[in-house]
Amino acid sequence: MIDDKTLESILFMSKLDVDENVREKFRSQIDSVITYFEILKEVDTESVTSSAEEAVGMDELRMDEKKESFSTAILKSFAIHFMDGYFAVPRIIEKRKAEEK
Amino acid sequence: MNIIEAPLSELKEMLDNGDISAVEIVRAFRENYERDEREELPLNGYIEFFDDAEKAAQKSDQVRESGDPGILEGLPIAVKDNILISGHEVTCGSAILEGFKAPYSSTVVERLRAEGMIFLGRTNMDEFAMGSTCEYSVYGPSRNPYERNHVTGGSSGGSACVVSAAQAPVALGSETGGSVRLPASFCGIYGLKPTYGSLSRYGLVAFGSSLDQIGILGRVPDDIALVLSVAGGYDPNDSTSANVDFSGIYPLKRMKLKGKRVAIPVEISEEGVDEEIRGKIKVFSDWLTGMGVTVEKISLPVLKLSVAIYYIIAPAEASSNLSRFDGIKYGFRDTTGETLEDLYVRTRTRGFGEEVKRRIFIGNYVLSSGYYDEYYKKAMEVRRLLKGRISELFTKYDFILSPTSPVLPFRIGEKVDDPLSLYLTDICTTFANLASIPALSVPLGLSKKGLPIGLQIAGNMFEEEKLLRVAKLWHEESNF
Amino acid sequence: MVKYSVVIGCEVHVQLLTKTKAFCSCENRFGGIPNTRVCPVCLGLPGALPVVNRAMVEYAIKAGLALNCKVASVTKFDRKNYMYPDLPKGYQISQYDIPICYEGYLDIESDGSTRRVRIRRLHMEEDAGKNIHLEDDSGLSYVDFNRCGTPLLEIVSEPDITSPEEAVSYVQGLKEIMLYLEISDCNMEEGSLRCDANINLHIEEGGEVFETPIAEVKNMNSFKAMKNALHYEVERQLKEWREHRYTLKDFGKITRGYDDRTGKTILQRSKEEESDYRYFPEPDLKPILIPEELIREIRQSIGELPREKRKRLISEYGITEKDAKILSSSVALSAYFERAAKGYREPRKIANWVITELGGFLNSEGISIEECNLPPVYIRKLVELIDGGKISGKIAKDVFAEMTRTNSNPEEIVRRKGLSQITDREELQRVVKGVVEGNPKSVADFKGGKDHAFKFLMGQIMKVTRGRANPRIARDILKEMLEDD
Repeated sequence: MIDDKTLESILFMSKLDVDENVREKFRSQIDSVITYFEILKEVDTESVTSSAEEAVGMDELRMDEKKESFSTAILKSFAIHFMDGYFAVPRIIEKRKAEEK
Repeated sequence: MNIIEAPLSELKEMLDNGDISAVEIVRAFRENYERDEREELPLNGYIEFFDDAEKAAQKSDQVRESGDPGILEGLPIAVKDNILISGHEVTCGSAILEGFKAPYSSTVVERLRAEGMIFLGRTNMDEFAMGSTCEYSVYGPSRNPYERNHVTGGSSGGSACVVSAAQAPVALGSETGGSVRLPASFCGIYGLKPTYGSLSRYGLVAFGSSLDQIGILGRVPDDIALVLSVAGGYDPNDSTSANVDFSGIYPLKRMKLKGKRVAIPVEISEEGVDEEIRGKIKVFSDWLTGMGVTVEKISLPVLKLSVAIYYIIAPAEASSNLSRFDGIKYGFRDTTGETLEDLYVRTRTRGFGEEVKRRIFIGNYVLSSGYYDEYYKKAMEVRRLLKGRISELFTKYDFILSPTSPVLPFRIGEKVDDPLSLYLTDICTTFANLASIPALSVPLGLSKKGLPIGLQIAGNMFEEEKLLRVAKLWHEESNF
Repeated sequence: MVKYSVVIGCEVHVQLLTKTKAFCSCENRFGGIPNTRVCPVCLGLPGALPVVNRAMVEYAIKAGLALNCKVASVTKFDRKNYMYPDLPKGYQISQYDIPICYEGYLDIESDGSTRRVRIRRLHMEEDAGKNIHLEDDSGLSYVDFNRCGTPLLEIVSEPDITSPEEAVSYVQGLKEIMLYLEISDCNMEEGSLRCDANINLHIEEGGEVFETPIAEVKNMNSFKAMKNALHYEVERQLKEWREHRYTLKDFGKITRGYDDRTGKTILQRSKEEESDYRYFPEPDLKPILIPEELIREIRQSIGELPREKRKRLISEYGITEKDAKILSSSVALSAYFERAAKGYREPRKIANWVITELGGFLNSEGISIEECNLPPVYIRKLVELIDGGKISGKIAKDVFAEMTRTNSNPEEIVRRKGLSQITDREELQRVVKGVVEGNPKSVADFKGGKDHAFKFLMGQIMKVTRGRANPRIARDILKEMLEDD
């Protein structure tokens, strides 16, 4: 079973929250899936090597040549809040600073 | 000839002969769509039928008149709502992208447009393509045209739905673990998942980047070949795209089946597979045998692991791919909190649906320190193992045959709260994504209750054409 | 008295001067109108995919080879996952377990001797955008994504550095090499060179060695700040040890930010708050094969590095350490100097002219040594004219000015303008005589014991000859004449 500490820490990384009233359901759904993953444990993968055949040569990389960037009009067309040439976001108050205040 | 029932090849001929116009084609599909919208339980295949489709058709008719039509001039297609079309909204069936207008087009859309294709609308999907039923959409589930209380399959359920219901002749979908083949099977049409890298992923909203591939759904194999011939091939904007040329595959040539060898892995075709489905597979394999094909049952135990491998790797990549939906730049933003942390957590908690949250959680879990080796690293190794086994198999066989789904289309709501049992409906399809090989779902007919049954035929890397040519023979034979 | 040693390891970020960004074709340069160099890729729009800039990979190999690193035959990219407004994808494309270059070293001078700082790894990654906080009442922060996707090298040293001064000379050494290779402008104020340092103390007490908690010090925006911050940190850790005896085992690694105004470091993050970056291979990019041949080619193109060059210039030309340092800072400049000085008996003078006069000229014209058309042999001819007593140092400056203006041979200029020095004793005697006769008051002053009158008379001689009189001969003649009387 996923313990509370792990649940909290993964939710923190995920930047997600789960309501108290559905938390146990969430936990058991996740748990059944993760338990299912156990079938991989038995597989012997000692002999598996990395697949170098998927690598590309230098010639397949992009040449260092400039192309046109987005116009401001395009940025305005999709930005949530665009102001004075910037993407505007609610003032960034970090946790530590918020606590200091 | 009935426009909405006609395959692309016939529409193309009628356009070329001047029998119909692109405007008439668009109107016919729109009318059929609007007629259905007035039903008590509309199919809900489209999230949006484009208002500007008719205008695009007018332009296309002018291009044709001017004497320089493209290969697909005036032919329509529906597009899954996770493939960007510049100027149109793209939501991935999610609230977090509501109102987001694509500021650029995907490579595949650009290529189709350049050859004159017309985009009819955006089709419904499981949110961010995470689902096997098309129920996890903020726009509600799409309904199976054969039985409206049943699911279409997913995640490209909308695309399968509109093609099956003659609201579009063909559609683009996307695959990560079966998202084109499964709904194609549930809706009784053909659905191709091409080889990884066959079609550019540039402009396809990422789910599991090492597995994602744009796929094509149609009612006849030739229609899929026609779209693939234009949309496929290398794209410098996608570093994982392959240097492959499909331009010569349409029209599909006849294939000599005699002497070909087919493997049916027991792991995905017997245990847990519905009786009726097994019966239909038998009909197909008997047909093959009759055509001089050697059909052999084989055992490939690693296939039993494919769902576990898939549900580690895909969510891991997804958890990272979906980090960009943070309420900072575009899409939805929740401003009710005070801190940056609040902004992130509230935006994402409200913006994402339950299944997406589960997958992000699983993905971060398997990547986090302490679990990485046990899950993610292990899954990557077993994936490589599986890839090796599949590739060995193709030294002896031309095709791998199996059902597309172990079960018949089920009722809407039946499995919605049981993620693991839903994940297991992907048992037949995920290995193709994990091994990067092409696979095609072929309609085999209906069950006793009138629900479609599909079969999957997989081939070696870049052998899309071979799959489609077998399907063409079957199509002519079966008349389904 | 506590006996201790200081242990420092540096993580240096260097922005590369490629034309375009690391993974998209947006222009890569500093500053400019915000959000004008952005595209679907560097903004992290849905569906956008990265494509590796070849020049970034080549620059990384170049830097690695110059730092005596091994180069991986296959390298790959990984995703480093964390969310922040200036990071549009929610992950940074970086390199985790297979950096492009590894196991190198940089030799530095410390207290007159040479010390070797080992380099653990050098890898490629992309820079983030910039969050801008204005003290306005809008309640908003602003994000500029122009910098986002700028290619960076991260160079990680082993903890081989034993003092703040050494840390500074290590980073200066890196800077010198990057500038020499012309792959970065290494401007600390603009942030194209950034250094974080991991520092702790090894304290000997009662035959045991205790390690203090490692502090990762950030936000050191100049070499001076670096020195101050690290000295502060040494003192702080000593004090903490004396008061609390905290060790590495108790606390692990902490992050502290340097504040230039107070000269202090402030706790930013403790170990418990450390992020889990969930690195995994970047699925959008395939691994890259680096052929031996390319490594060979790049190695050859590097040539002699500044430090070796400096040593050679000193031993071969006998020039000062200071001049050698300036000349070796650029390939073109040192090549210019060597062409001018080769075979000349007084290379020091050539060095002086190249650095002071030519350097000043280039500066005032705002052109680089590469753009300078003046043949090096002209500098040498000019110095020859001075050394041969043909012209005075003062005249030489005029000739130099004319030489740069007309790009002509200094001998030609001297001849054409009649600038050669008057060394003929008879001619000078006539001139001096005239001056002495024309300035009886000064002559009287001199005789009355006022030495400055001599200087005045010399000045008059120079004035009459328009500076062409050989000062040594003229002085002798003037002395003779004044004493004769």
